[in-house]
Amino acid sequence: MTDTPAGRDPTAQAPLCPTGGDSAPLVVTTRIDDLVNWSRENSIWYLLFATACCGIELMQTGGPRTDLDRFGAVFRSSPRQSDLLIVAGTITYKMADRVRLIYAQMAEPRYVMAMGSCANCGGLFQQSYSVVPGVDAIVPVDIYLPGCPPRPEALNEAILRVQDLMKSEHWASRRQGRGNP
Amino acid sequence: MNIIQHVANLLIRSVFHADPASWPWTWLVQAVVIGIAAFLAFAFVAIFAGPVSWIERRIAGRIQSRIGPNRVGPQGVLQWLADGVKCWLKEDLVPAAADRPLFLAAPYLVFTGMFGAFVVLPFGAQVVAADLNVGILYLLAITSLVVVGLLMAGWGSNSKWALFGGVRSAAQLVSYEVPSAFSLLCVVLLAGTLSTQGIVAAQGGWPWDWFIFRNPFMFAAFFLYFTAAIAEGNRTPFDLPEAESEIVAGYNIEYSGMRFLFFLFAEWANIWIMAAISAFAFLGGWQIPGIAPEQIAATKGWEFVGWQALSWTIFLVKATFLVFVVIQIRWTLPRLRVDQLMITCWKYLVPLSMLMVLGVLVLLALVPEGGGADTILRGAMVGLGLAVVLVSALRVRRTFRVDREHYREMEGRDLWYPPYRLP
Amino acid sequence: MVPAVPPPVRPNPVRAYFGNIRRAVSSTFEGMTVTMSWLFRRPSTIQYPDRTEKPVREMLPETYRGLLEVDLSRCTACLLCAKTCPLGCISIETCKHPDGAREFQTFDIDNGLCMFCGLCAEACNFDALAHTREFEASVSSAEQLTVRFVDRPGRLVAKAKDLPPRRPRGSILAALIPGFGRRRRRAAPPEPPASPAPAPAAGAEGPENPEGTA
Ligand code: SF4
Ligand code: SF4
Repeated sequence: MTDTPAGRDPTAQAPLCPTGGDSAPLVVTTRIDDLVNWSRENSIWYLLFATACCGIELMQTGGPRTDLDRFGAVFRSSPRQSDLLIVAGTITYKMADRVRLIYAQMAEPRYVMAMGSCANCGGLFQQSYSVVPGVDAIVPVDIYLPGCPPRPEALNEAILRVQDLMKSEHWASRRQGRGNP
Repeated sequence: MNIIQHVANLLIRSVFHADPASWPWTWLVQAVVIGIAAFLAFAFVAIFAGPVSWIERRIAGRIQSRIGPNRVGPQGVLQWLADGVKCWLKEDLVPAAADRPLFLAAPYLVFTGMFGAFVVLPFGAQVVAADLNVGILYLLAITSLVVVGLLMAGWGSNSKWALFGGVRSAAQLVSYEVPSAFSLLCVVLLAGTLSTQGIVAAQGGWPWDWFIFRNPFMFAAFFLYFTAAIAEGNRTPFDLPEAESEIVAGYNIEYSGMRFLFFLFAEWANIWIMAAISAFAFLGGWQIPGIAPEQIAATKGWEFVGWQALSWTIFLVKATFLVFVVIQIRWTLPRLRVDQLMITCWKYLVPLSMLMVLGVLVLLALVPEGGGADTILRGAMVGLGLAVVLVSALRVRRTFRVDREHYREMEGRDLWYPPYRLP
Repeated sequence: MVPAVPPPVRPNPVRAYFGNIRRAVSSTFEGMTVTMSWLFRRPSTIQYPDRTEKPVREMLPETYRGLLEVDLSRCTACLLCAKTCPLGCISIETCKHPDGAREFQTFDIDNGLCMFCGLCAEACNFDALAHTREFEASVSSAEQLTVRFVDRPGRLVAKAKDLPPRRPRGSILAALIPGFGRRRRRAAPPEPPASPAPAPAAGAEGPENPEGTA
């Protein structure tokens, strides 16, 4: 994808505005986008969806040491109420249908994060006859998080990046949604 | 005369220069004033439910050795606003196979059930929307309307988990109505009236005038009522209808966006309502120590308003304290099993609350109010209450001290980090 | 007939009943005092991106297996790491110049596939490939998961006899990826003054690659 050999394409990744972790902007501006994005990024309810070892790390991230609740991110157990689907773990072909179903059940706007190598590209089970090589083959993925498993702080950083993603969006365009795969 | 008529008459006299008794439009003005009062109560629920959810998350965080929301606004106080706006703008999904009218109406029914209870809550000396003479009955009836909404949500969602949740909540609410009604019956026996203001008026401002410290049976009845109320409000440890580990999210599993927000809202309002009922039925309500209600009613102008505000504040403080207790219970006790839930109700709470009614009746007959035996009984009960508070404070201190030593050895820091220090 | 097992001793139901009540009350009381005492304890949360005493990366042990990083000026393109890797995340290509020097074509590490097992770093004999303590690597497209270490043409393969010193760990990744470690840099305004830890982020302009030793 890059024409220069200089690692990742610098333009492919917009520079991140440094608000994710600081106390969020208090000034409610007149622009409705700002308000909407502000509310969205500060209330990321993620779905409890853990299929393998990464799930343990996902639970740990909600725990005391890396408290995701600080950013308003709490788990919901129903896909209808969650904003973010964190695919934490190996997805087998049998599970793939369920992942799609869960994604289809989520209400717009919805985001998907592929957590760990298995969700990114199949990971160490890539060669297996039964493992989906990357969850982006079945649902659209917004954020990829490498690691096997990623440590809780890495997941926290990925959540902050989801916040950055939300910040750059327009409410009206996102409202339409992306449809189901 | 309650405050609504008071305000309406004042308006009619000052704005329309008419005599409220004979003026033909009095009812209209009164209706408008009632509407405004209802709106204020609604705003109160909204404003109360938001910050309390933030406070609960902070308290839950500290109990679990973490922090809780602290990034949105100063120390996260705007967290509820972010959650609210987000939910409001989220897609409102209706499952294709759902029973559409039931599914759509259920949250509003639940909300109406919760909200209707506010009508008879005695907020202050004259601040009550409607002082019904069957106030307690009305409370019991209107809060059970919730079960219809939950069943509708469970049935209408066309999801087995939602159905389980709805059925569980129906079973639970219907069962726990019994002990809570019996416990409130003790209050009614002592007060001699079903009206909520009458119950408050039968108590006094000082703790020994409160119903909870009237006699040992009332003391027990308070805890029985509190337990039953927690169960009626579907709060942990009795939150079987939304047990994640068993039925995913229970009756609200298919709800998203605004409708889900209504369920959340109703849950928060319900905590407040049950704390308020406990506060006015057992803990003296808005009574100001040293001032009789008649003296308040006799005042005029700003003095009247001042006393009203003070009584309102006292009531709010008591109710908010009980809300904290509910929150702490939630983060202390694990969830019960379904059979344990039913056993707790039918084998323990129901007989015990019947016993309390009997006990209160016997004491009413044997111990005349205001006599020497009554004074001794009240003094002993206040002493018991103080002892409970003192013993629990000492236990907290002991638990803390043991771990403080270990913590200093391991971390080289002091464990002490009081709740008012916000990280 | 005498039963082989004596019938179980049934507890006195009345005692059991009141025992249950007593236990419920006392355990609730105990539990409430314990949770109450937690309100006065220091939370164990590490406020990750910005409100920590030092960056989380520096709290990790030296041997932490974070993102992989290769110092091309020390890499002899022996392909040991690529062959050791059970998943084949490392792809190395070189080409030969007419004068005998070899030049890197690619040195890619697929972070998305890597399981951070450390076998490749162990196999590297020249301390070129090593784990850093970096972990903040979420990206928004799958291609970006692959880190391409050959940042410009003309990176010559090192000779084993004559290797420059290893550049500080983390500095190569920081130089390669724009915005890398952004969360880390926002950390901690009150920098601990007497921190003996080497600051790898400052070493972005470390010893310049001497283009092999041709
Ligand atoms: S990426 Fe690694 S840790 Fe995560 S599920 Fe796969 S094998 Fe387990
Ligand atoms: S750490 Fe393991 S999986 Fe990752 S590149 Fe090295 S050998 Fe391969």
